[in-house]
Parts: sequence; structure tokens; C-alpha cells
Amino acid sequence: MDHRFQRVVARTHEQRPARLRLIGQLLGQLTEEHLYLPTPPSAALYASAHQLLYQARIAAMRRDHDGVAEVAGLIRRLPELPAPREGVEFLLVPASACTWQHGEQYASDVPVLDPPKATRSWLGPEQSAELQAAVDLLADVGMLEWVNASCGVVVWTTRSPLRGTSISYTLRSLEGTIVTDWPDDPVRLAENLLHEATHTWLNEAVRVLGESLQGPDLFSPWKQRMRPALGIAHSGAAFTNVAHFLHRVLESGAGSHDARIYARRRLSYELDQLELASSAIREAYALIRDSDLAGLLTDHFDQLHGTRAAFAI
Amino acid sequence: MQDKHAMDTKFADFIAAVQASGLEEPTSTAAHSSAVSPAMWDEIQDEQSKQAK
Repeated sequence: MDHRFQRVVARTHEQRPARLRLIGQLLGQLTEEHLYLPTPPSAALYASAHQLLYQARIAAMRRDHDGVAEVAGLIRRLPELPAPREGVEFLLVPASACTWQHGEQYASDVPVLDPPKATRSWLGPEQSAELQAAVDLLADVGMLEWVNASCGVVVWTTRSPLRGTSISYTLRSLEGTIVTDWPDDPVRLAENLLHEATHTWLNEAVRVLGESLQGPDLFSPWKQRMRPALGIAHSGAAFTNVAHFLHRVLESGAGSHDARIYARRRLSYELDQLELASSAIREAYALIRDSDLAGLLTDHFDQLHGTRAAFAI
Repeated sequence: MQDKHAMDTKFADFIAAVQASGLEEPTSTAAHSSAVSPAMWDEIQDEQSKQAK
């Protein structure tokens, strides 16, 4: 893996204990419960603490005593968070293992994991095999580190067919948490994990490195509207990663027949979009002051050249 | 009433402390949907069967 990626990840992880202590102090002020703080903190704990802070803030704004009591109960149960499965840093849990907050801040619902529910054996043999296949695929193409660097909790909502629309999202305040449906194929499941992991990784990196990406709004071909430079940098990073992933899947010969049809079509589409966004992405990356982050993202984007020719797309 | 007042103060203090901590990031949702339309699937498979012949 690129040494600049490793350095950025090291810097983000270094600040996690201090950030958790601060979250613990704030939650303690409201609930009088002590946040469980092992050293080093697990990725799942890091993600869960951010969820709890969000829930606590919503409860306080609503003057909801029961909501605060619920947060206190969840804090007490944090030591029950299970270890992740081998090879990954994140816990993958169903939506039913979470309480859901409908905060006015977000368009999307916010999950808050209930630790004991994450320990239940809810993953059937078929899904377990699909998850393992997705993780193996990411490892085989050298992209699992993007997911492991940032993801602590992955919440899956519903199953979606390979040929259907797949929905996933991240929330900037909830570092380390991803919400995704469960596409009925390891290639698309891996794509969703990687796409959202890139967002949560970049959110944490931008915050820790003190980047603001102040500049004029730029046109996004994905959203078909002008967006702040940070949004363009996010789209550029996430879709560049997805394009690299699909390219490497096709190159390696992995995936089912239908998944490869999907990968080819999707790669073609994303390469078109990335080309349309090319100058906006470069402009957004030029606003990043940290040389490791800017260099990594720019080089990763530049390395896509030749992908279209290689697959005659 | 005093308890209620104390709790209201606690809630307000907590919200202010979160704001002051810098932990309350500007909010946004990065939603993503990926889809290949049924028409595109048909198109791709037509192409494939032509190539296979």
C-alpha cells in the first residue's frame, strides 16, 4: 500500500484515543456514565461512541429524559461489543441491531448500535459466505485496507438484487459508520463497502489534517449541480476507488458472469463521469494542503489513465 | 419543578459543551445509489450474445 496512505491513516488513528476521551467526558456530563476506553480503542468502539454522542445530542435537544437513559444504558453495554471477524476491523450488523434516530440534521436516518445485539448470531451461512467473498475480493485486489482503515460499524439494511439499485450512505459526524443495503453479489457488496469506506476515511483525514478545501463551487456530473470542493473531492476519491476496484476485478477474472457484466458496464459509466469531472476533481485536490493526502488522491486519480484503453471501453 | 429546571440546565450545558468541543461537525449525508438499468442489462446481454455467435 502507498506509504502516503499509511502515513495519513497513522495520523488519523493517533488522534482517536484523545477524541474518544473528549466524547467520554461529554457523555459523562449528561449521563453520569463512564465511556469504556480500552487502549487502543477498537474501530467499532470509535464508531459507536460517535453514534452515542449523536443520540445524546438529539435527546438533550428534545429534553428527552428516556432518551438520555437509553444512551446511558448503551454506554454501559459498550464492553459487550464483540470482536470483528478475522481479517476485518469492522462489525457488520443488521439494521435490527440498532436504534434509529430521525434527526432533523440529516436527510438519512442515523443508526446507533446496541452492543449486545451485535453479538447475536444473525448471519446465516449464505450471507456469511457472501461477506467473506466480498472481503476476500477486496483483499485480492489490494483494496481491503481502505475499508479496514476507517470502518468500525457497517449497518446493513435490506437485501438488494444484483440487477437492482443499491443504496448506501455515510454521515460526516458519524466517523467509522457505514449504512448499506446488501447487494446479492460479492462484487457489488464489496463495491458498496469500498465506496462508503472511502467517504468515512476522507472525512476523518480531512478533519485530522485540518483541511478546509476553501474554493469556489465546482460542477458535479454525478449530482448534476454545483457542489463545494469538499464534495467534489469526496466523489473523486470514492469513484476513483470504485473504478480501480472494478478494473482489478475484471483484470483478475473474479466474479460471476452477471457480476462481470455489471462491473464492465459500471466501470465504463464511472470512467465517463470521472472524465467529465476531471478538471473539477483536480481543482478540488489542489486545495488540499497536506502533501501526503493531495499526492495520494491525485496520483490515484491519474493512475486511471489507460484503464479505458486496457478494456476497450 | 426544581428537578425539571436542573435537567433543562443540564441539557443546555451539554448541547453548549458539544458545540464548544468542535465535535459537532458541519452536517451532511453522502448518499450513494448505484444502478444499472434493466434496459442497459438487456443491451449488454444482446451485445454479448452477438459476440458469442
